[in-house]
Amino acid sequence: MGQQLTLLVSAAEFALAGAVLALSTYMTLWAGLLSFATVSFAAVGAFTATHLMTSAGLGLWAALLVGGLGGGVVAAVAGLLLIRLAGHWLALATVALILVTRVVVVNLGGLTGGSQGEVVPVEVHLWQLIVVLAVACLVLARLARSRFGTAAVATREDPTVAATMGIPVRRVQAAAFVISGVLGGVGGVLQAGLLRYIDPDSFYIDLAVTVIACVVLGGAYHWFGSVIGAVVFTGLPVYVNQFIGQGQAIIDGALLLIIMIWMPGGLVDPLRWRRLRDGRRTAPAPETAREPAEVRS
Amino acid sequence: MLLVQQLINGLALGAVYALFAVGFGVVFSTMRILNLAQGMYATWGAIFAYWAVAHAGLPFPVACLVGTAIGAMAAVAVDQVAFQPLRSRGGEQLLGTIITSVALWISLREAASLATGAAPLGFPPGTVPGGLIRFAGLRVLATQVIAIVCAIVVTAAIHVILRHTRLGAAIRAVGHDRGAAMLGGVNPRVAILTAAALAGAATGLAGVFYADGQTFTFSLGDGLLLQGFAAVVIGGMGDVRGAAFGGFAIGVVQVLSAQYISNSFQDAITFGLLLVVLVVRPRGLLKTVELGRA
Repeated sequence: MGQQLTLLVSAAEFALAGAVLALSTYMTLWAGLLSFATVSFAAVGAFTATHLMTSAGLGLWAALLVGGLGGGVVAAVAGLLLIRLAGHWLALATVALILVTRVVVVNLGGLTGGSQGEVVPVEVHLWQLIVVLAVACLVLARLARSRFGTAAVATREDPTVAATMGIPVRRVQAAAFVISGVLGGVGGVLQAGLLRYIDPDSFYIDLAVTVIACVVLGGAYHWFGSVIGAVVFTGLPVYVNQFIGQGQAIIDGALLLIIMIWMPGGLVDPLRWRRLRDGRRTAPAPETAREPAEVRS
Repeated sequence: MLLVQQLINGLALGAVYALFAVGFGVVFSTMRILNLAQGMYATWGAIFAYWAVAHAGLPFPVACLVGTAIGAMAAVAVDQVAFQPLRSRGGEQLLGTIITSVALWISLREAASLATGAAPLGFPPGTVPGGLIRFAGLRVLATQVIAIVCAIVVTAAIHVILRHTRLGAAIRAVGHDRGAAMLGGVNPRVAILTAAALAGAATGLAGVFYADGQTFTFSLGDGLLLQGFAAVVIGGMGDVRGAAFGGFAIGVVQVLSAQYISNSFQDAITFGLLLVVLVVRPRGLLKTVELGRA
């Protein structure tokens, strides 16, 4: 029984850290940018914070601040260079950013432990994760009701129309990118504290893939979707692992495929709920109605 | 002389990347799909080619054909399972197809791991053409020549198909605007399946050539995916010639930097180059005109 409890707590911890990372990716999607860069921000945050925790004896809260700051600065620089790329080019560029980040981590052996990685001296506890995620959710909930939230939604739906209505599209996107960087950096520190040992592969393509899966499958149209997605796709596997041996990845893949095909809006899909509620009056609108982007391509 | 020798080695390695990048580029430029499952076509192509040689006793050229065919079939199957349902639903597909391609990536990877017992495989000695061509003090392996020639031929063939045949025009038309292409009398399904099969065939062949000189495991495709991805971005993906150029360039840069700078900086230089190109020329070195983007 005690072992089950440990596993459950561990699953919950990874779910919470994953949720912060997922929220980071959600931030960019909110403003219509498909970015994998969260993992790069997380790597920057995690390695900066770990270095300072080891050398300067930083505590967790200070480390989170430093991590968030580091992620935010990198996001600002990366955003400056990359945001002008359109749609799928940005996705490619951010994948490349992850590759480059790993190379940098490997070659900055003095600061990051190089390819051997390094031990994270500070442990993260469940309640700390809950506090951080709660703060992040609070911020996002406030943002969603602010002018910024409205502007971001408008930018995602149609940047051209948004610009016509006086929304500074680039600035909204840059702001979203920086917030994503801060959240990514914080998430990276949390992830490092959970793993207790980080190496260049801790923040690589597989984490990027997990995070984007959390956001899209959880529901990319509401921040709460990312949280649910993280619980389902980072927490659940940690717990379920004990029951399934070989071939787990095949089941994971099938699950991703099924959800993507039959629940395109994700698990949390406010639009579909609204449509279901209004369903008796009008025939359901086609799926394409809310995504004008395809008209252009 | 060492420089020329290493240039040839680099071109041979680059040939593999070029083949992979051409496959990646065809799918990305015509269908706007960032296909992360692509590396698995190479893995499965290599595994089947290995089986064909080691267990069925087939000669190497036939094994290459087997790898190519398996790559094409895998690509068509992945397209139908992962991308077709999203296409038929319409709407913005980039995000969705990334997720479904990831789904297929991890599933096919696990399947490859189970099928090979996660053990390293290697073509048995004597089954791969082992000829060594000595020319003016240079030593060139027969497999290197085969890889380079095949990469050039395949790139040229795919380029001709895409640019100078009706089928190629249909593929590009569907990629540009599916609805308008249908109005123009194009069967989008045929066009898409052809593009997927072409991409898969080139990728499967890349897998065989990547595997024939070394031992490999089921994760062969992952390394190729990253290098091929870098090649596509560097070369520019609107045109298969750009992708092939990027592949050759990365091969040469990797071999030369390992020889003259440091082995450990190999990846640093490749991906550093990638970042520089992205910042300076985001559409790739060989820029292509992209029509109809708002």
